Amino acid sequence: MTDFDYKQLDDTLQSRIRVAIMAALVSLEDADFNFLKNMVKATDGNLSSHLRKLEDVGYISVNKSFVNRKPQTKYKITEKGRRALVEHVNILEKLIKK
Amino acid sequence: MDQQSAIEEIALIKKVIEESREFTFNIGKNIILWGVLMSAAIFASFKTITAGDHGMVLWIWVTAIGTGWIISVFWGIRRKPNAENLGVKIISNVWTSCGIAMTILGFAGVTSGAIQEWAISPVLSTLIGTCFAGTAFAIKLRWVIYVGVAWWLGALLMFFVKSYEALPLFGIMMILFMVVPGFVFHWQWKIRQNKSETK
Repeated sequence: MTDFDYKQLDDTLQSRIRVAIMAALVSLEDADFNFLKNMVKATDGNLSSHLRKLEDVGYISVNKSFVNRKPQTKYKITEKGRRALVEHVNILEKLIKK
Repeated sequence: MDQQSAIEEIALIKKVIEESREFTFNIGKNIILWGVLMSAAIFASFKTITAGDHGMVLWIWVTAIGTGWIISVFWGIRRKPNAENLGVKIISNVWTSCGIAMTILGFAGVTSGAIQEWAISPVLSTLIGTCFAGTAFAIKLRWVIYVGVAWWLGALLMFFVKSYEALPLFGIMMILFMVVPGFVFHWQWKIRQNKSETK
């Protein structure tokens, strides 16, 4: 056990799935639901709820459009989300170095 | 959270970033298509020229390049990427730009007389080498830069041959350094697809 202060960690990024979603989006321009589902290995319902939470805090943005008359939803990491992920990684690294 | 959990989470972040970065669309399919069409046109041109029928050469190329563009545009319209990254955009734009440049040089350059017919093979080889070099930097694959270098060396050689005799060499290069790398790209893409489906 360490004397690590849990309060330093971002509440939104306490979930591994949400961290994985952010990590997947950080190196991409954008990605659709199926790509993220495949990448983080989550069920549709589970992934939807995590994506909603990330969208609510402004870490990702959602773009809905029609491609060949079919609806397409694309997810993109925001600047705020990018900074939050970097900060999260910094805190984890500090914890490892303790 | 303890240190072990932090180590695991950092490892997870690295793994997911690496996997999503690996994502590229299948460029192999287009490279194979153009390699096959170009090599067929090159060998057909050589056969026609050696038979003394120069008039047919233009039509061989109009058919090959026209077919290539029609199929490529059709595939491009139908493509619905699950995710887009900068590497994919760079590769896509590099090959489209080179394709347009080669079409202009091949047709306008030769029919206007600005470029001598024999010179078109080394000129196109130089451009193809540039496409492979650009692709190598975008997807960070070392072997692809060697393919680009092979095209540039072939171009140097053909510039000094200065005749139609260079056409068979151009055709062989098209198979070895275009069709074969195309199959390697396609095979690597298949492996990535299977890996992500079985995970």
